[in-house]
Amino acid sequence: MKRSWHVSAAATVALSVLLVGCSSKVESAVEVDPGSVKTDIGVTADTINLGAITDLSNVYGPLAKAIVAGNQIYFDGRNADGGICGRQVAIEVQDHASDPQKALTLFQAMQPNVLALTQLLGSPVIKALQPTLTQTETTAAVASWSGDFLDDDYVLLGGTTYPIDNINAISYLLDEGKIAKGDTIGQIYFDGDFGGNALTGTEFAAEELGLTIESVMISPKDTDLAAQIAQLNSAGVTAIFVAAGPKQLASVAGNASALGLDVPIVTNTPGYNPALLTTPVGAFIESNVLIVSSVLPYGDETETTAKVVAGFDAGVTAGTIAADTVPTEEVNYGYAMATVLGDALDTACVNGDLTRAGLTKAINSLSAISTGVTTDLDFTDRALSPSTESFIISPSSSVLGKAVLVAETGTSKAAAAFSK
Amino acid sequence: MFSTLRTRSRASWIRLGSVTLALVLMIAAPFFAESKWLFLGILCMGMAIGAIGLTVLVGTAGQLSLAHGFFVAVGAYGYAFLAGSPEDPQLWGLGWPPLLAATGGVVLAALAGLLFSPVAARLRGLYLGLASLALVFIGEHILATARPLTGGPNGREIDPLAIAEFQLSGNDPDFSVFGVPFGMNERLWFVALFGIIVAIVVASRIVTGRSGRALQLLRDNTAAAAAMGVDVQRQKAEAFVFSSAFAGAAGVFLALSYQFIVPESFGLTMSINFLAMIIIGGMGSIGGAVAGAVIVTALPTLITLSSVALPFVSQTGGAGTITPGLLSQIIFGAAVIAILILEPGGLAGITRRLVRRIGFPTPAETVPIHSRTIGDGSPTRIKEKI
Repeated sequence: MKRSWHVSAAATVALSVLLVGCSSKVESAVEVDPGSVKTDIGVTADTINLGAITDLSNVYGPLAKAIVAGNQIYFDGRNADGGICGRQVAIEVQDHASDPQKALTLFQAMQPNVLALTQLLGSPVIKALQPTLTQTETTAAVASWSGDFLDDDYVLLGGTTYPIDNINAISYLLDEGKIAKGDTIGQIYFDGDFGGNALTGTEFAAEELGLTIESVMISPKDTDLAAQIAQLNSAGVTAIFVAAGPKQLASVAGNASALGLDVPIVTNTPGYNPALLTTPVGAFIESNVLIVSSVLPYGDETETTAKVVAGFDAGVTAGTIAADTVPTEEVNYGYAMATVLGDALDTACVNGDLTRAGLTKAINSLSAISTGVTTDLDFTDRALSPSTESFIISPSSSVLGKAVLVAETGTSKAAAAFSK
Repeated sequence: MFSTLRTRSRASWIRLGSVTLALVLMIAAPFFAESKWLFLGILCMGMAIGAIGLTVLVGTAGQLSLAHGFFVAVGAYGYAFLAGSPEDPQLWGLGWPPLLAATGGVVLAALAGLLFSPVAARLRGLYLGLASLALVFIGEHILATARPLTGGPNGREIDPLAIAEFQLSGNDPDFSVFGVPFGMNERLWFVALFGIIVAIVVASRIVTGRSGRALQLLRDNTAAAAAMGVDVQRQKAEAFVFSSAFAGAAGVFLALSYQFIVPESFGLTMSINFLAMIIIGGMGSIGGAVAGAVIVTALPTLITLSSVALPFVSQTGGAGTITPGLLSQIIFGAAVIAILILEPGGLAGITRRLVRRIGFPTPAETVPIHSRTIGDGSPTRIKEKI
């Protein structure tokens, strides 16, 4: 027995050494192509390959499809105009179904073929991928506005962070006389990088502007918020901020309406879904809810948003955009993030460096990007929110994108004092 | 034991040969396979270590556990805590040397198993399953709220495994073997390979040894076991501790390969996946658990990566098409049902049948249970004869 295992061990070693000696896996190097543009990963002589790792089949499916559509519309437009740096842009989309492990595996598989990611969706997924993004120097545009993701050279946040949005919104409500100094305002929030981050802004604004905060932490599993709204009601709140999902927003609206709590309800981008307008609380939502966001509503009000609408319709007709995609402001967001990457690629091309490092350098030099669908963005200091301005948006069942722009807050005084 | 080379049977030579071949292929893999496949392989090996622990618990000892994911989390977060920097202002860490911390993670998981073992020793079947299910939810709550320890919903970064300055799960320092650059995945592959070999050897010894026989008797007839002098409570507790330690080891490996752990990775889905692995592989079979782990871990990703070529699959899921994620779920579910109906012994059962058909005598090993109602723990089907 012993001797035969020795034979086996010896054979293992000998065979392994033989096999290993024949390996062809060699190191790759930076390539300089004849056009004198330096490239490394994901860029060939005629194509720039980008990736999108998102949730197409789980809870964020509808939202993710809209962002994918936005990405596609921008790059389809650029490709039709001759591409970027003389190359066509191709996007490889993969579905992680909100599973961080699967996302990591898909990224490992996609990473050697793509220059950057136009979309990475889901907080757990983004966090799980952060170390790997840094190691591989891969830039990823994320579908999140959490300040927790700032100060990372490879995570691209395209707008105003949640806390700054909330500070701007509170300033707006004060200016409009909808709330007054000394009032108590309620904040319902998910724990973590979305709600927890938004809360820091609400608390900061309260401190700066002389308000009291009544905050209630909930989990995504809580969809009946009767007790929480009763608590806010007895605290005498004059406005409710909701940093949670659409289901929670529906419950907040339903219970507030039942209690006769006729106050403004302000939600961040992830909290609103146009489908809410067809529910029994739709009318109350339309009259009381405001969305604070750095992304314009979907529709054809401005030149760029009209271009996105045309691109969307053409995409659906041509079959490049899934017919069941519901166009929301997420389409605009996808378009905006693609625009940031597109501008960065243009800059990198001018610099003659389409490598990953070159792309990062290009992004960090972009000081005033006007996407046409968001507030203007500045990436020169990655520790700061790319924008400090917000839009106040109101749900509206009568328009195409089910939401209309009410006001632009600019950078409120309190927001300017906020550190992130 | 002291048989000479000449007297070994043909079957055992074939066995030895296939083990050698498998080892050679596994050792050579990092020199040929792309990084992405290595990464998938590492995940498979990590999961396999956990599945081996569960197959011994459920298959050999007959104790249903739905809390395997919880013990995996204890191992993963235990390592993160023990190896974490003590200087971090927000997260607790003891700053232990990583190798010690890895062992510590396994020990912590075993201790968690020990704490739960009074419950495991008193309940059986579905009742134990339900009690262990509570652990999953308690675990989810702890992971989300014990911020200094787990980072809460924000998760926690994992310090790489290293000996002195040499990282075994990182890229530092750079080095190459035979001209092949050895990055994180190549290095971690060998660590995981070492881990899975140790896990297989240890588990085989336990299953075929004295305590394995005691566990099987316990599973099939508690009264008989007690009459034979088996300390029922103790054996059951030991089985639980043993399986938790394996789960802990899996947790450490998964944490090292993820580099960043978030609570979402250790939910009920993970525990269910572990059960699926051992059912597909054949309950009680160690080889089956490894095969099951590979299938459950790799299949969804493989389908997702390769299915875009199919006409009815579209990444964005347009009209009349389904997404690759959905397709992999469908295929996966269908595979589990097919195995349960056609061959309740799982892959291990299929292999045994094939081997017998070819005509090699199978080595005398423990026979796993096939399909029993887990309800009262009594066998409802006669075990397959050897």
